[in-house]
Amino acid sequence: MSFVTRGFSGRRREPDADLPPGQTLVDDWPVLSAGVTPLVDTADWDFTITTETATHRWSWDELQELGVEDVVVDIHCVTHWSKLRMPWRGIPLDVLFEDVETEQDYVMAHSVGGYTTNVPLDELLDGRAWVAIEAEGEPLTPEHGGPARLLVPHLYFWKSAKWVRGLTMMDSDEPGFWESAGYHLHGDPWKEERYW
Amino acid sequence: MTRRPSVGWHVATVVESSPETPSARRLVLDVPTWPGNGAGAHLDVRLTAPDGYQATRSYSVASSGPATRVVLAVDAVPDGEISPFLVNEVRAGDQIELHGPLGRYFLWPPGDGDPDSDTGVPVQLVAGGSGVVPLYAIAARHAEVGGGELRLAYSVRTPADAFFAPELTALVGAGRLRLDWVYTRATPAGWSRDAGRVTRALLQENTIPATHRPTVYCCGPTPFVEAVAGWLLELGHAPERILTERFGGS
Amino acid sequence: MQVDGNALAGILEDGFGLDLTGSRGRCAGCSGIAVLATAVVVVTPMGTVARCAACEHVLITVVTGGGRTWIGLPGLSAIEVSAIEV
Ligand SMILES: Cc1cc2nc3c(=O)[nH]c(=O)nc-3n(C[C@H](O)[C@H](O)[C@H](O)COP(=O)(O)OP(=O)(O)OC[C@H]3O[C@@H](n4cnc5c(N)ncnc54)[C@H](O)[C@@H]3O)c2cc1C
Ligand SMILES: [Zn+2]
Repeated sequence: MSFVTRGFSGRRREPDADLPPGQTLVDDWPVLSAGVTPLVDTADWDFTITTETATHRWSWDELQELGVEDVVVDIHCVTHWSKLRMPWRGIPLDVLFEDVETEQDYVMAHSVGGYTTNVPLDELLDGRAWVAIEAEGEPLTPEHGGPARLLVPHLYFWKSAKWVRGLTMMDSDEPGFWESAGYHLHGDPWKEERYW
Repeated sequence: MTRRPSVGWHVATVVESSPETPSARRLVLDVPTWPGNGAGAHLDVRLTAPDGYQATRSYSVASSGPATRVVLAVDAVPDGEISPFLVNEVRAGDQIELHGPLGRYFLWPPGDGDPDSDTGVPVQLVAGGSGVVPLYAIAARHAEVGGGELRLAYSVRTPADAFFAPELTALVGAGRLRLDWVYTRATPAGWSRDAGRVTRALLQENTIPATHRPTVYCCGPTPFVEAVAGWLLELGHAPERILTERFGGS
Repeated sequence: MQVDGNALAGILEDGFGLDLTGSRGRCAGCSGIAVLATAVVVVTPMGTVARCAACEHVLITVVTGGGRTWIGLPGLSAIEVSAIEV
């Protein structure tokens, strides 16, 4: 880049060596939203997993009864911020998938408001993903995706779909909303899989 | 279809930066490759850090016509990344990159600012804060080329927050513009109305009636434009004669 | 932050060489026709999303990063360019 604006550094700070490449540590929790924040009443909310043969459905209360787990994870947003050792509470997807029969290997997460994101099924299992309902000791606010969001901390945070309301099994790894628009199909922060 | 060669990226040199309001500055730029611009156009400013990081924001052009001198007026948004830099850091002699002119939708006269298009139609301008920048360009151009009735309703927090106040006052003095101020926080001494936000009634009172079928240009913070555009429809203005440009903010 | 289709002028001109703000497009969601400048545009650090003002269908996405730009047109059936000076 030949042109430089005198005195301009922008809002970015220096990348931190202990973080995935290109990431900077933050203490606060930035809110990103590409539209209106949906206000979801848990009374009208349910969570579904749709396979080639069946739709599994849990109400808000049924979901809690499956067993809630406390976890502490690092999150990495593709917009260059990371937040370390963040306490979350949620239902492990291992539990939700216990009685789900499927031959399909890929998942599309669907949110209230139409947002979608794709994740391979095996990356949602083995203690690597949750339907999160609390963060930092508080119920998830609507701005942060409440009442429930997906939590897949080993991938860039856009994969942790806010306002999640269901997973649909797929034969192939179809791109979700941001993946269609230019972001990486997979999104591993340690491999810096930001864009196509 | 060929590219219009004149629109593109330009290197501008800041000729002058002067206070416009307590929070805003007027920037006069020299852009040797600038193709000129219609009244109401904007441009994109791109800033580049030494490590290659870039940020781009849109700013309306307060000037119009063939000149290669381009005038901007930038309000410093608290905690903003770009506007405080343009207001507080940029000084004469600095160079910045520009992309433009842009935004044919919001030009006056309509249709790419074509001077042959009908300029006899009444024009109502409605501005909130820095949203007056493209509307000042339109008012000045309209005053120059002549045309139908021209009226501006301008909402500002206090008298000191008005952009292009001397220029607008001069247009009024020359009989070229009818200007109606709305003060939302503090009024001049002896003002006939208390400070307060624009309402539908106030808008109706201070604008050309829908029955005269004016073209309305409305520009300012997004919530301001949303509110005004909604009231204009309720007041009977046809949607295709209401042109809007939203600057953002909440 | 919410703006409107005027704010897309620069990025679309960069990508396509056309100032599309005054162009009429058909929404693939509601089949309505509207001028691009009237679209509801939300600018976020991840990208810019333009929605139909009538039905909220996503018309255009813009992602910029690593020195590259992607323009998505997922919800525009067509956009008229014949009125644009050539
Ligand atoms: C077509 C167009 C023309 C424009 N013309 C002008 C102009 O002539 N003069 C001018 O001063 N601005 C103009 N703007 C607004 C300008 O592009 C920037 O949005 C503004 O300068 C803030 O940028 P920033 O980087 O400082 O703030 P950011 O870092 O982008 O934002 C910081 C915070 O400020 C808020 N914010 C952002 N923009 C605004 C705003 N406009 N009003 C209030 N709050 C805001 C955001 O919500 C955010 O919380 C125009 C915008 C558009 C789309
Ligand atoms: Zn639509």
